Parts: sequence; C-alpha cells; structure tokens
Amino acid sequence: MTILSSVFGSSVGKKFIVGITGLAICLFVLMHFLGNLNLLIGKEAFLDYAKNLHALPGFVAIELLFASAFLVHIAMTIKLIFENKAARPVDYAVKKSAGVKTLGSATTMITGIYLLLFLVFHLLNIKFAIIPSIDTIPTAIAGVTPNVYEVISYSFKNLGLVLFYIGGAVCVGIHISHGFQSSFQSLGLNSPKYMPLLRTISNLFGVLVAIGYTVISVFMFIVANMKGATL
Amino acid sequence: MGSSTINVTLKVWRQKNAETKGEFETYPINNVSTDMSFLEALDTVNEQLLQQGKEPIAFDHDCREGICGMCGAMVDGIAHGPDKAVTLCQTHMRSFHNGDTIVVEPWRAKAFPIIKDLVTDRSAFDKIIASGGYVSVSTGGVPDANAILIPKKDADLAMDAAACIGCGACVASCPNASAMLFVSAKISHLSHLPQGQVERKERAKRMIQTMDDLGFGNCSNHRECEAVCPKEIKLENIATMNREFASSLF
Amino acid sequence: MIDAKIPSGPIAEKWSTHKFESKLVNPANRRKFTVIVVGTGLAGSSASATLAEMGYKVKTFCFQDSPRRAHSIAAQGGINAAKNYRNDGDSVYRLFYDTIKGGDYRAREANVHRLAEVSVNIIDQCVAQGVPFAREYGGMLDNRSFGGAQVSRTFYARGQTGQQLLLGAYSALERQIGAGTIEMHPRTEMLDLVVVNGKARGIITRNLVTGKIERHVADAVLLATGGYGNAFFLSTNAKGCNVTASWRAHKKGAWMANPCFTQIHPTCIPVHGDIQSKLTLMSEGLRNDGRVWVPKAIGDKRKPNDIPESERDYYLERRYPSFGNLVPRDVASRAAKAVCDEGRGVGESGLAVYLDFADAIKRLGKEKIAEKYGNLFDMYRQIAGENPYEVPMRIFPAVHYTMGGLWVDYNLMSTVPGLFVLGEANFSDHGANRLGASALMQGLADGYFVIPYTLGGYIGGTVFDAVTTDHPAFAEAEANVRSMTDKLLSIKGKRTVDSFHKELGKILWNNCGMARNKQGLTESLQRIPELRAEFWENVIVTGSGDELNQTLEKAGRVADFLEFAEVMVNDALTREESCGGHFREEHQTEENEAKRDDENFSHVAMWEYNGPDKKETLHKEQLVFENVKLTQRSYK
Repeated sequence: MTILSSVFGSSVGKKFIVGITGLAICLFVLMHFLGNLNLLIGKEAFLDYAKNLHALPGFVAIELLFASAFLVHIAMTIKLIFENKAARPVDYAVKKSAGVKTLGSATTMITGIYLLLFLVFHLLNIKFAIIPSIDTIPTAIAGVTPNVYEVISYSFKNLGLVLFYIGGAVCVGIHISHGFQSSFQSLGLNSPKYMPLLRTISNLFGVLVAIGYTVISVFMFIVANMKGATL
Repeated sequence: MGSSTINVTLKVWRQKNAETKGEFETYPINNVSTDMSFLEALDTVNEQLLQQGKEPIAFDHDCREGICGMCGAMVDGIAHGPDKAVTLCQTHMRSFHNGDTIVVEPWRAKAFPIIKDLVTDRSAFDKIIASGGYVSVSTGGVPDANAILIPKKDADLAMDAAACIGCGACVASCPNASAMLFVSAKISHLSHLPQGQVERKERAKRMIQTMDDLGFGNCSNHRECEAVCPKEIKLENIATMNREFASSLF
Repeated sequence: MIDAKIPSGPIAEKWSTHKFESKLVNPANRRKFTVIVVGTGLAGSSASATLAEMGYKVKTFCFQDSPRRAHSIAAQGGINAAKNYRNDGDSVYRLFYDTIKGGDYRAREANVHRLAEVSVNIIDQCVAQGVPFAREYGGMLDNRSFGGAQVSRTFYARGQTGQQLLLGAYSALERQIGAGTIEMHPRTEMLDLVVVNGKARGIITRNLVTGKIERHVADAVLLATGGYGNAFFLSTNAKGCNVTASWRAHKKGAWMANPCFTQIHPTCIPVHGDIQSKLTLMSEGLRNDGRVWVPKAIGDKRKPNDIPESERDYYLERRYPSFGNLVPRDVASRAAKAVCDEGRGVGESGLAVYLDFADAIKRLGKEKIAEKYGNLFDMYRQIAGENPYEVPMRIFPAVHYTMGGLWVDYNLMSTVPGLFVLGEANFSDHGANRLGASALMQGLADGYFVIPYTLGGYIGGTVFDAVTTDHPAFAEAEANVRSMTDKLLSIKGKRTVDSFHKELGKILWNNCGMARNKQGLTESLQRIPELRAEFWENVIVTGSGDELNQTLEKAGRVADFLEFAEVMVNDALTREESCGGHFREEHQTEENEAKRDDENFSHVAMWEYNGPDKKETLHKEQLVFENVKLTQRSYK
C-alpha cells in the first residue's frame, strides 16, 4: 500500500502510471489495428477473427485490464492537466518553443481530448451499437441482432462519421508519436544511445497507425456505399 | 569588429510587487551597440528612466558572465533569449535586428512568485536542495581524496549534471512549470558518484517530495527545458531521476 | 603596538600548537552561542556549515537571492593544494614558499604556512562532499600546472572549479538549513555592525524585498563578504560585490589593511563602450599557447591579419625572453598598459592587445586547440562577436581580486573583538599579489579549517554579557542606517548612481590602477572628496525604502566606495615602494620592474577610522620573515 501511495502521491510516480498505461494502450491500439486489417479481406474473415478473439480464454479479463488502462490513463492525465495549469496560474503573453517542439508533444492535450470523445463514440457506435440507431439495419428489422460487420458497414455509409473516424486515426497517430517514446523516458528506460532510434520508432508507429486506420475507414466507406448487397 | 548600432523597442513587464497587477511598458532605445549585452540594454533604459525621475526596471543579475544563475527573463517567449546555451547576461544585442520589438517577461510559475518587475523568488530551489541535495558529511575526518577512485566516465557524467546553475529557465520554459530538470540534475550528479550511494534512495524520495509540495508542475517530456538550459543539462538526467525514484520504492 | 597573536615555535608547528592551546567550547554548550555569518561565498558557506555542524546556532546572510550565487562561483582555473600527488617535488613548505614569494614578501609567514598545511584537507573534504573534480582514467584525481607554477598542484573541475567548490559548500550549508541549525537570510544586506562594550555583538540588516530594517544579536560576527574590486566600477567581480559590510565594520573600529593591494588580471575581454557594465576574465591558461603582440608602429589601424610578421612586436617575448608570455599577472598587465600608453594599443578604443593563437593552431591543429580552450573561445566569440580561431583575441587587463582588506590577527579576528573576517574580505594571506588558484584555497581554508578552532578559542575564553536587541547600541546603529537610507531617498538630484560610480572608477583606474604615481594619487585625493560631496547633493534615488529598491541598494554601496577609495589612494600614496600589484612609477628598476623597499615597507599598513571626513590614522604591523629570504623577483 505504501508503494501505491508513494506512486500515486508523487509527480514521478504519476508519470510512471501515465507511461505504463500508455504503453498498454499502445499495445491495444496495435492489436486492434492488426485485427481490423481483416476488414480489408472481407466480411467472413473479419467475423471469424471476431469470433476467435472473443473465444480466447480470459478474454473478458484482458478486456477489463485494457479498459482500466484507458480509464486510469485518462483520469490521471486529466488530473495532471489541472495540476499543470495550477503550476502556472498566469500565462506568458508571448511563449515560443525553443525549437524542439514536435507535432506530437505540442498537441497531446488536443489529440487527447479528441481521442476521449472518439473513444466514447466508438464504443457506443460499434461495441454497444447504440449510436446511430441500428434499428433500420435489415437484419434488425427482421428481428435478428445484427453482427458487428453489419454494424460497421451500416455506420460507415455516413461520410461525416467516416471523417470523424479519420480524425481519430490521425489523432491517435500523433498522440502515439509523442506518447510511445515519452513513456520510455518517464519510466527511466532512456539512454542517449538509443533514444533517437526510439523517437524514430515512435514516429513510424504513429504514422503506421494513422495511415492504416485511415485506409481501413476509407475502404469501409467505399465498400459500404458500393452496394447494399452485403447487408 | 563588425559592431554597429540598432534601434529597438523593449516591451517590459512592470509589476510593483507581488500583490499588484502588472502590465507591459514600452521603451524605445536608440543607437544600441550590437556589442552590448542584453542586460546592458536594460541598464541603458534604466539610466534613462532615472534621469526622468522614474523607477527603473528591477531585474536580478550578478556575475554577468553566465555562471551565477541569478539573471533570467523570457525574451520574446524564450527563456534567456534567442541564443542557445547562454544566460540572459551573455545574450548580446547582435542577436536582434534594427526595428525589433522585444517582449521581456519574468519567469512565470506558481513556485516562483514575482517580487517586482522581472524579479522572481526562486527560493523553492534552495528548499529542494535543503531536503536532500547533498552528501551527509561534516567537516573533518574524511578519507584521503584519492582513497575514493572514480572512473573518469562517471566523474564526467557527474560533472555534466553538476554544471546546473539553478537559474530556473527549465521551470520557466516548461509548459507545465515543472522543476524536474533542476531536481534531476542534482540527483543524477550524486548518483553517478560513489559518495552519493549511501543516501541515494532517501535523497530521491525527499527531493521529489519537496519539489511536489512546492507546487511545480509535472513533466510531460516536451524537452523545452533541455533546449533553453544555458548549461545544456540533458534530459537523460530526468530518466535517471525516474529510475532512482523507482528503486527508492522498494 | 598591535598584536597579531602569531604563535611561537617553528613555522611548521605553530598551527598545531595553537590549536592545542586554544580554548574549547563544550559540545553541549555550543548551542548557547549564536554566530552571525555575513556572505555565502566559499568562506561564508563553509564556515556556516561547519560551525552549525559543531553545534553553534548560526545565522547566515547574503544579499543575493540564494547563497549559491556568491561570486566564488565564477572562479575558473582551479584550487591549489600541496598534495604532491604528481610526485613532482611539491610540499607544504613549497606551497608556503611560493605563496610568500608570489605575494612579493608582503604576507604574514605564519598565516601562509597554515594555509598551505590545511590545503590538503580541503581537497579531501570537497571530494567527500561529491565535488566532481577532474579524474584520470585510473580513477585518481587529475592535476594541472597553473599560473606559471613549477609543480602541478592545481585541482580542477572543468573550467568551473569555483562553481563546483561553492556548490559543495552550499550543499553543506543547505543540509544544515534543512536540519534547522542555520537560519538563512537571503536577499538581506548587512548595513551596520553593532559593538557593545567593545565587542562585536550583532548587525543591522535591511531585508531587500520588504525594506525592513532588522536587528540581529550574536556572540560573534563573521564577515565573509569578499573584496572591494568594484570600487573601480569595471572589474571582473559580480555586479553586486561591494565593500559595504567591511567598510561599515571599519567605521565601527575594524582597521583596514593594505587597501592599495589590488590584482589586475592581464587576460580579460576589453572594454567596448561607455555603457559596459562588467569585464569578463579569460583564464590565464590561454597564455600557455597564445602569443601576445601589438603593432610596432604607433596608430597602426590595419586588421591584425594584414599586419606582416615583421611589423609586429611580441613585447612579452622581447622583454622577458626566459618567461615570455608566461610572466606573472602583475608583470603582464603592466606591460600591456605600457604599449597602450605608447599608442600601440589595438581595437576601437586602443586599449587592447592581441592574444594570437595562429602559431599554436598551425603547430597543434585547430582540433587540439578547441579541445584545450573550446569553452573559452566560445565565450569570447559570444561576448566579442569575433571568431578567435581566425582573428587574434583582443585582451586587456582588468581589476580582478583585492589582496587588501580588513586586518585580522592569526585567529582571523579583526581589531574589534568578536568580529572575524574570512576569505577575500581579510588581508591576510596573499601579500601584494595573489597566485592563480589560491583564492579558492584561502576561502575554504578559513571557513572549514581555521575558524572552527579560532572562534572556539575566542568564545571559550570570553565572558559574554547578556545582550539583547533592545540594547541602546542596537538602537543607535539602526538609527544610523535609517538616517542614511532616508537621506539617500531625499536628495532627488540629477545624476545617477552609476554615473558617480563610473567616474570614481575612472579616477581609481587611471591613478590607482596598474601604475601609480605621487601626482595622480594626490590629485585623486582631492577629486574623490569632491565627487563624494557632489554625490550627497545630486544623486538620484527613486522609489521608497519599503520595497525592493535596487537603486537604493546601489546608492548605499557606491556611497561606501566613495569613502573607501580615499583610504585606498592614501595607502597607495603612503607606500613609497613598488611591490606585487602595487606599482609606484617612482620606484622601479632600470628595466622598469617593481622595486621593493624592504627596509622601510616590510609591514602591513593598517588604517584606523577617525570619523566622517577625517584623516585616518596609519598603524603598522611589522612583517617578520624567519623562514623565507627576501629577494628581487626577476623574469628576464
């Protein structure tokens, strides 16, 4: 207990928590992305993947673990934002970066807020299939609960929603480009020797995720609008 | 020599004391020699103000050779001004152009309250050192200096970190007003040396605790501190501090 | 006749004998005694920490925002210690001998020997604190030869030795603050000494943030307030360095010793204009590879690289063939002044000489030079805006250190019982010229290893009256401070403090600087009181006394410089000889070198204050040399 209170009660400890949960989320994002690549293959492949995934032993436990990583990461960063604002109650009239600012580091808060909204929407949209209402999906009308592929296809017909998804893809990429390497620094796993390499990996990771999810979103938009046959 | 003169306008934060609200005042200065240091430009303004019976701009400074750490202000939004790896007293007017308007503000952080104009209270740094930034040896009874062998590499790393002058630019430039570069420099200096081993866990714990209690913000790895540090203290020190903290937990 | 309390016996045993014979204070009793320390440089920080560790109640004061800022921090080169780690023939006796000789035989033998003795403990202490001295690959401490010394006895931490030593002492100080044994008062200036029944019993201070005037009572007062080099306005000292604490103690009975002994360092970045606020030192290590020259022709305004070899005068190599560019500081400085006086100086002002690395770069390569002097070259480029790898540096001498200061006996106690003076503020160890890397040594020796014993001797052997801050002496001192502050604020004149300070600086630089003569000194003695009178009628001090008021602070300090300068000039006029940094043009050899007069001036000149605008009384402490033979220094 003393360890936990030392960690949660300390600025360095809080960095640890953000770093560890951040890395967990990175792992989640990567796996989620790889899984979603099945969408590019087709309906059967994706539904198989979803089925197998859910059948994994301890799936609920893992899901809960990732969910708590998200919750802790979000709660802690919000707390830090307020603490950091309090540490500088009066802002500068002119403040410039001394030249090391990256897109990722400059926008963590903005991309973070977007991602929080995105996450809530994404869960309601796909996981819980509440928004938009799925009642008009043919299977639903027929009285059968639509499968996840149907939910996705149905949602991705909507251009506005797709753009929102693309926004999410870009934000998650940018957020990761700073967050991934930053986690290593926070956890003290940093040496001048491999830090540049880590920064490169971090940036590549961000770009991969941003482009990858965008491609999937665009692909699904096209597929969903080509024909209603799959529905 | 390449020295010439320029005309610039200084827009300086004036604030009578901690209680009053401050505002910017504008001071044009003409025929500033480009060989002049930035603080000498402030001296020039002050001489003019005094001649007019007005209160000069209060600013901290002492050695004026970049080592005491007493000077510092945000110049056009950058701590210690545009030049890399120098303090404000070593920033020279040749880094500016004819016709420039230069905005000068004090360090801003809750833990560095403004005393007057550009003068802030940085005693929080002393409190952090007092909470553990030392080796607990009293005068006398110590072993011969060469009885403690220290690999050159470790001595050099310790020196790199020990070069910190405690000016506060790291806090001033950090988007979160975090003091982690300062604190980590001291922790890292002592953790690289055999003399610092005995107390290393206790030191990290206490210094970090004190830093937090004083109201500094949290580090989110923006690296602005490293970029403005006049002594080029490296961000790796923060990673070292984080490791020291982790080991202090067990 | 004043008693310097030099212990009897052979030189090497004096200090041990004295330590044994000094009274001790029981550890349990120490907390009953309060000690005030003013200044937090090497001497003040180390003394505060050490005394607090021993159990005394310590109150420490500094005018800066943190004790870590004190100007000891700026020392670059290193610190001497007679460790003989190099096996090159160094010893305590050799360090003692070199220091006495380097000081041109105007220092007290017993003090200097003690300094050399404790020098070895300093290094041990600093290493134990975690000072990151330079190391060799085997893990042992590295040394270098410095300032023309024939042994390698200088320990260093990059070019930041002073900083690292000060941070070591500061960390020890902060440890005691954290432990509650030291009450620290930063941004607080001492404005008077309180003397009760003939003993120093406290100080009056001004809180520089709130303006509050406060009384502090103690059983002993330690001044570690540095030198008076800023009397010259332009010096390598920090802007805040001042003589105020020393001068106000002087007015309360502490005699001032050898105030004309000022060290002028030959390698500083030259003055560039009237607004210049400060001079920057370039380590004298540069003279190991740089060659000093000026054009042969008067008024040659060509660019340095356009002047052919045959039209250059390498005057140090010409005048001093055996030592060349490595002659001691005082000699190098005077030679530079001489060529500039002839009109052969370079740069816009004509007050500079070249320090040229072209040959060294040709011989060793640019890389090697960058490795050795890279940070200094960068610093030069930042300040002067020129690339010293391509064009020669321009350098000129500047006021750097003051050997004179408040007189102290062997116990570091001034002529006011209970008032001790440490570090550069006292006069004791460097005679008429200080050797490189010896200032740091003295500051730490005084603070860590001398004062703990001698203060104990004083406290243990003294019966103290019960005194509180309600004593009339406190009220009187406070009233004096208040009336001075009020007066400065009430003048509302037309001339700024800086303009007075600059004028004083010019008077001193021209007449009491690198070369002095009777006429110039006499004229100065007339001009200084006039300037002082004008100051008190026409100075501008804006704002009030109840707030942070940097103009008021400066005004008080300049007012003291204006009084102090007169004693300094008077001392220079009275000392009818040349020695070390004091060069009287009337007293030189045929080769224009300093000519001492050991018969008449082998003494410490001590000045006693007699009241405002009254002539001070001269006292003398005869210097007795039992161990070292006095010789003429020669560097031909």
